Amino acid sequence: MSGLQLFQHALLLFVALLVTGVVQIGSVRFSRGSIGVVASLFVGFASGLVVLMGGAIFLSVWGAGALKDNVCLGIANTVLFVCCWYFYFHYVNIGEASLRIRIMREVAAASGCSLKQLLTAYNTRVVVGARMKRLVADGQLIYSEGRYRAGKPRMVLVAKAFAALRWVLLGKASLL
Amino acid sequence: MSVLLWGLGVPTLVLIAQILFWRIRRPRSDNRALACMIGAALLGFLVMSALPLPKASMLYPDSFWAMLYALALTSAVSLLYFITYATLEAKSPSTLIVLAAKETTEGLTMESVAAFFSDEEFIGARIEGLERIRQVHRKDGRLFLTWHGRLFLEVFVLPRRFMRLRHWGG
Repeated sequence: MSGLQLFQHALLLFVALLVTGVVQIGSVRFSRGSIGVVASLFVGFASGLVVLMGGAIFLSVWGAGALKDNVCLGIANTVLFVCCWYFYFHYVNIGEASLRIRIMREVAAASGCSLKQLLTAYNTRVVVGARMKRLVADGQLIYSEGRYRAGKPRMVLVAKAFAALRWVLLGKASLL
Repeated sequence: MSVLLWGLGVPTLVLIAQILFWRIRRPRSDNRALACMIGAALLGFLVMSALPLPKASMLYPDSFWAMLYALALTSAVSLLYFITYATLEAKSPSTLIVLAAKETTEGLTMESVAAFFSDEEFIGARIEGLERIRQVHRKDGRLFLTWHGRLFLEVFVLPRRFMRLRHWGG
């Protein structure tokens, strides 16, 4: 495995991550609210992955080094790309959905406030309202006749995967 | 091949070791214990790379750059697992709402969901957490951000500035 071969794959990974970030930010900025933050993260992921896969095929055929090594580096790059996107997803999503960040923002905006003042501006009703609005926009909940019903199963599937991991590691599946 | 083997093999060994240790006795500070295990595995990986092992083997990264790539892969997968593990027991309001909606056939109202949560659990507990890690401090009954609380906030607000988001989530 040559240094040039590794450099080509590292450069490809960098370009794919750059495309992911640019497409993600651009899709929110220029869609004027029609694409939500979470959806934009998936749009960015898909764009970056297309670049990565295209580049991996190009390097396998025309790049330096043996085909076998290029294929293995392509797989390693895909794993690295998924990991980096996962970090980016959490980084962006924390700014969007974290209760702590919102509390800190309220405290900073008021240049110091009492707990009572904070709870007037930001309380459980505000949290629930914001979350339900986001869940409806994302299709996770369906709103009809004044009631919210289950929609797309994506979050339920993630919750089930987490419950399985909790069962394997901690011996309990339930959160409560 | 060696990059993949080492990059994915080391985190897999950490996971197996964690399951075994946790089944015997779960540490009191499990995030710290897991961070130590990952750190030890990365250290072991670096020590192995410095040992005069038969480098002609196809199972061993054959150059400094290949070793660096394997180390990057090991670190990224380990960090991904650590982040996932740290959120494993977090009670996300969104997840709880979606699970509650799935359990009911007649649907949920805003009032029924709001009644399920309390300010104490979702706001009070988080303020206590922020005070504990010294990102917020209390003076004369008022809450203020510390300087590193401000810095922390700025770091996570940055992508929102790039996206030009005006509304606030939470």
